[in-house]
Amino acid sequence: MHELTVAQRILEIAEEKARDSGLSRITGIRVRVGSLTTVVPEALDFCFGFAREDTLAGNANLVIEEVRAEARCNSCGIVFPVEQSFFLVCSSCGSSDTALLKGTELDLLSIEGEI
Amino acid sequence: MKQVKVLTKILAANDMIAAENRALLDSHGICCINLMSSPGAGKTTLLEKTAQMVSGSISLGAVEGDCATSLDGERLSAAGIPTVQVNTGGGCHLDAGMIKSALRDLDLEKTDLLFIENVGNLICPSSFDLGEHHRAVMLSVAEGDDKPLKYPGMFISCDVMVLSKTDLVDKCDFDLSAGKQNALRVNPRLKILELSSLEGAGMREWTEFLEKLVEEKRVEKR
Repeated sequence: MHELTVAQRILEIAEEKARDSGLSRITGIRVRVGSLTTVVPEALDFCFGFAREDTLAGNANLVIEEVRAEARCNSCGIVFPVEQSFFLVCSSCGSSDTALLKGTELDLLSIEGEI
Repeated sequence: MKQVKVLTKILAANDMIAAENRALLDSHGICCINLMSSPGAGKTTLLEKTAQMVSGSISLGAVEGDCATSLDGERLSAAGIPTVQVNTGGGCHLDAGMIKSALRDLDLEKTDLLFIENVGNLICPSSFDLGEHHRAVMLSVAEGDDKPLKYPGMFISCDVMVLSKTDLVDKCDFDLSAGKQNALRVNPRLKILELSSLEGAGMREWTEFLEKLVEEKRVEKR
């Protein structure tokens, strides 16, 4: 359950930014989670519910934007989705010479709250 | 209601400490391998045998991560590896901060190759950069040749795969070529080594691989 660690880090960053921006309360937090991160959105949401207690985000809503992984084939140039199976082999020409473009994101995008 | 743009990596704090750890290791010319696997794949046994074989040519160090007990740390110390035991409580992975603390208790001047033996878990440890130079995932033949497909996040994050306990391959219904093929489908860049720590098959190739990594690091430091 490393999602608990991730939830705690989200709250630490959010609280720091809230103080910098003069917010007294955080009402919403928006994050981006790539499909290759091994962070399960449902588990993150569940852990966030516990972790937010006694923070400026006591009742905050967590919005998770999920990013589906994509890779580019360096041989034929197409961009192909990297499915749950994670195969980094080009779905078109079968080449292994590929580069991940998306899917490893784990970012805090924005917070909203009240002054 | 006020909205504040943040746009920062959630694990930025961990990554920053990991970068500090890496810089510290680099300054001492130490090569560091983050060794990950399921519990019981044979990480500790491999390190014990490695210590016997490279004694005199490579100075090893280890950080031993477990939820509880110092059993593995004691085994590595008994094998002659200076070891720092890290207990995570219930934590399912090591993080860069734990490694930063552990490095204070190691004699970096006398270390060529540092193994971080991570908490046995094929999922969570892959999300946390510790400051290592290489990531090795160990898969024992007792676990099944489909594991790279079932836990792709781990295999995709590594550059080395060690297939262990190959002496048991006939008893475990593990198809060696399927196991390797599955790993390479997930991550075509994986370097794969097969070995049996107990019987010695493949161990020479393993230690030669380690010697090469250590030598590369030495050249880099010059």
